[in-house]
Amino acid sequence: MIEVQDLVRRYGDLVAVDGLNLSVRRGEVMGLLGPNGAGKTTTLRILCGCLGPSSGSVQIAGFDLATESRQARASLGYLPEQPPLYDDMSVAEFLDYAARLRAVARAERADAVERAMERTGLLEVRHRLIGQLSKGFRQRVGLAQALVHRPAVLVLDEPTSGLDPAQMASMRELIADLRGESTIVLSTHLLSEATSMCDRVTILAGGRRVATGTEEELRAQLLDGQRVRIEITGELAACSEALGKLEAVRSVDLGDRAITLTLTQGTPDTLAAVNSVAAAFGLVSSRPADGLEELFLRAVDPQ
Amino acid sequence: MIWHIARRELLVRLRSPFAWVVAGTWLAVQGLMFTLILGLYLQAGSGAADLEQEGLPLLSGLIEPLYSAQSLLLLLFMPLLSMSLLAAEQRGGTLSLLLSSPVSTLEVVLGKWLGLLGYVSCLLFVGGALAPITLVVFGDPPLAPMAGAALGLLLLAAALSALGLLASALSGSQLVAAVVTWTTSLGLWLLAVLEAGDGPFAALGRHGSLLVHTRSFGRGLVDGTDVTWLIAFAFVALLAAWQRLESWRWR
Amino acid sequence: MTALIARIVGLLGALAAAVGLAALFVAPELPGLRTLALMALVGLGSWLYLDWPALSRWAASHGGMESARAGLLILVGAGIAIAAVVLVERQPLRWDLTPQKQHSVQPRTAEVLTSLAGAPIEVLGFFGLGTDPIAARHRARWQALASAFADAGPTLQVETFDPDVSRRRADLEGVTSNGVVIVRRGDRAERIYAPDENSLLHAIVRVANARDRGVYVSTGHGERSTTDITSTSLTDLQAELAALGLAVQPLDLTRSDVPSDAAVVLVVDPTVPLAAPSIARLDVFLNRNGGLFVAGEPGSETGLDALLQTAGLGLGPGLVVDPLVRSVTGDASTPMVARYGMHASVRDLRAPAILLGASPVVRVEHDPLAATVHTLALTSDLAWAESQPAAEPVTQGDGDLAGPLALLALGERHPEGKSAGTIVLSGDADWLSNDGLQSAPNRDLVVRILGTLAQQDDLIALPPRPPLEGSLAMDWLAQVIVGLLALVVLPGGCLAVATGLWLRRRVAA
Repeated sequence: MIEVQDLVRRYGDLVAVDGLNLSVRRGEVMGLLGPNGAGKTTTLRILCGCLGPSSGSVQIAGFDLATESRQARASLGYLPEQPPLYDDMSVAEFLDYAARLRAVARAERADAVERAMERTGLLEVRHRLIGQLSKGFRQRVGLAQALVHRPAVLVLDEPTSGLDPAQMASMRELIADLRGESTIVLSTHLLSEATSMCDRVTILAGGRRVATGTEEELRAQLLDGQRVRIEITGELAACSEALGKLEAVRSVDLGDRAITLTLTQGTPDTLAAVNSVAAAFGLVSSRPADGLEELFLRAVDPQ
Repeated sequence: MIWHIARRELLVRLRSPFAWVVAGTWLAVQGLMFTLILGLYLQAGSGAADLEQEGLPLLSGLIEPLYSAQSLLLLLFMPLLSMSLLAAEQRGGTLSLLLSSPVSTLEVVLGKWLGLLGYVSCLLFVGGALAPITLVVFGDPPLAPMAGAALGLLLLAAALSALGLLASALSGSQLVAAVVTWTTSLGLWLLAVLEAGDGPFAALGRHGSLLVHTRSFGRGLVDGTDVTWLIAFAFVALLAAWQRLESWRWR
Repeated sequence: MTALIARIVGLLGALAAAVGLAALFVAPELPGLRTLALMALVGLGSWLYLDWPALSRWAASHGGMESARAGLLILVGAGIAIAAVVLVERQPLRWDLTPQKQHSVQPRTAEVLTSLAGAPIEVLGFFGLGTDPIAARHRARWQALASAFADAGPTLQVETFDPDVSRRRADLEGVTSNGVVIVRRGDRAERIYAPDENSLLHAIVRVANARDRGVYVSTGHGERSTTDITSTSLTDLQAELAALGLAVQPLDLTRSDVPSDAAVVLVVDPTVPLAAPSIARLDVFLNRNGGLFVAGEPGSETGLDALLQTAGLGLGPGLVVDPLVRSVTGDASTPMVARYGMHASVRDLRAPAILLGASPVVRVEHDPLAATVHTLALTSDLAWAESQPAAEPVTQGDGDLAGPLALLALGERHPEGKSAGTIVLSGDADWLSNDGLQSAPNRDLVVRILGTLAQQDDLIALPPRPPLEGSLAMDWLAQVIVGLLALVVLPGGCLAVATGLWLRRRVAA
């Protein structure tokens, strides 16, 4: 549904996105995860046509963003970090305007607005001026304008930032509700949010892709050069000796109760090889020495 | 698409108390100018009647001063009306809505311009309808010069709103946009003082001044050069505003 | 560091280029333009050379390409816009919406103007804005006239100058006051004052026809000399007229007819009355629509009374005495012009001319259908014509003519409705002499009068324009109602709507 190839975006001498490749399948929820300045917002702004790429190409729903810009933009809805709201319009008026801008046919416009308000729970405030709404409602209006035309692709930039926990939960619910209907790309700097809301996550750091995949795949990719803690019932020393002979193992650290290995590469095969050796010594558990959070932090910040 | 954007501009102005306050001030100043000019004209007319002279001609005595007053009013108020066009979109982050919609930046610029022009036309021709109605009800004015004056006002409004749109696109601040529009339009207006001299400065005054290219409409004369000049002015300003908006993608 | 220096040098170069270009247009004769051009070249060149890495990076980046494309597009757009304006400017595309077509020349004028062939004719109007609303109105009227003519005449080059601003140009053309129009082709020039469609068209036709018209000064009756340089001779007047392109030649009326190229004949202070043959010759000249200027002296006999009477003019008895002038000149018998008339030849003149002992000019009994008299210059109301100037003290006697007295008057002869010449009469000749012309107002006055006289022409007679249309009549009630609507109801309505909207928002919040 979304194909990004060799995307580069410079601001003067600063390279914000550096050769990014990304592919999002139909109906998938893809999370862009990374610290501030990783290039998430820049990538999303390029995806929705608000920003031109320095080089590289983007395809939305089969349309090239550079050459078939209008069709590409017609099939996406975008919620920037700061929702694009006119404070001097009422909710219904604004959504009607958004529907007009997104070329919703005149006959379907009223229904589309009604449906968008219903989905995002805005019916009770439909006649209120947007400038008088609370932060949570404003975020919902922002989401409603993005989906008023039932876009094939939804691009959400930090949809939950700045919300209180209750609002955050309801926003997550709304997004979960949209799963399957639209292909969604959202950005976040929270790992938990990314793993809970998204089918797949792409981790960005310094404008480059560090890892892509489901939670397990991420773990595996991030394990590269990472540590595994193994507990066995058998003799620790013998086991560590046997493990040390494996090619994939860089170093072995013998503890009181467990062995901690540092692996050269974190593929599932390596893990399987390690596990099969350890099985001979009565394997109790084999799990990463670090949580995903720590892996993530180490991945995006090598220091 | 152009229509939808223009429609929003009009709608928001109809719903905004600030816009109505501006309209009220506009009408008050306009009314003051109208009553003053009318009073002076009628006084001069009665004076002439005492001396058994021919009265002041309606065209130079009333229609032309009214036209000048209206164009001055446009010059003074246009920055207030145009400053928010794009500067507010830039400030409020709503630009991303326009840029991510299947709308070209050219359509955005044209829509905004037409929206403002529609609003200003309402002020000029609905708010300012009292003067021509008075003339028609209480006198028999020559109608063709009045239509010419209306055309001149419309063209001036088109040129000035294009300038205001450009200023609003250039700056993220409404205040800066208003000041830029003011100084530019007044400067172009006042270039007319150079016209009296000779040499290149006089040529600059003659060819560059907004006043020189708008004044003959009020005298019942429509000059093709003036019409083209005003349209060309609006065209260049709109082109620059369009390219400025487009450049936001490449910053 | 290099880049910074390069950019500063480049900026200086660009500055030099801008100043140079501006100077090229404003004052191309200024020295140092080459140096500026060299500075610009070196500055911009070294910037390009030293800052090349950054420049090429900018040019290669997507944003750089886009900015360059946008800049180019705007430049091309501006070029198209300017080209369109220039193209339309060359076409006579004008729509005169006034019912009387007051911005267009009359059909007859347009016909004459389009038939003009040959070299372009310059029409230079000197009209200042000044601080005077009347000056501004004259300027506006001239501009309307000028643009109508420029529009109708493809061979006309019409320009307007403010003599106060374009001093150099005004000096060059010898223009000293507002309201002068010079019409010129090659070395032929005409000056007109207070122009209207008729006079401007005539001036153009005269210049285009290139017919030499001269001023003849009559001799043979003891008139003032045009050759001896004395305080009472007319040599300065001759020089003034020559500067206007009017050749001055002597003419002995006792021996020859007035030549056919004569535009004006001057008869200044004849000490011997003109004889019948001379007067008959003048009459023939006047019937060709010529212009005659007669200046008599108090007490002297010109013999022209009968001829003057055909134009409704005559010299009154006595010497003009104006007590108001005594405070200025110290001598009540050197009358000063207190007021000028409305005739085109003296309109807009302000500074008072001073005469040196004058008879009053009077309007004599005449057929109103055969002649029209215009007073050109008047004394103050306090003046009178003293019949006993020798008596001391000088006081107004019972028989003396009471002021204001005419010092100069113009009579147009039109027996049977046909133009038959114009006569200007003055009761003093000294103000035209070398002594009198030392005063600038005197120079202006005589030049204006002789210029106007030289332009009497019956080539084309334009019909008068229809009166302006449109009227407005409002009684006080209508005025009050309209005023209330304009000042209270409409603005108040808007403010009420604003308040309503604001309150509704407050309630909603």
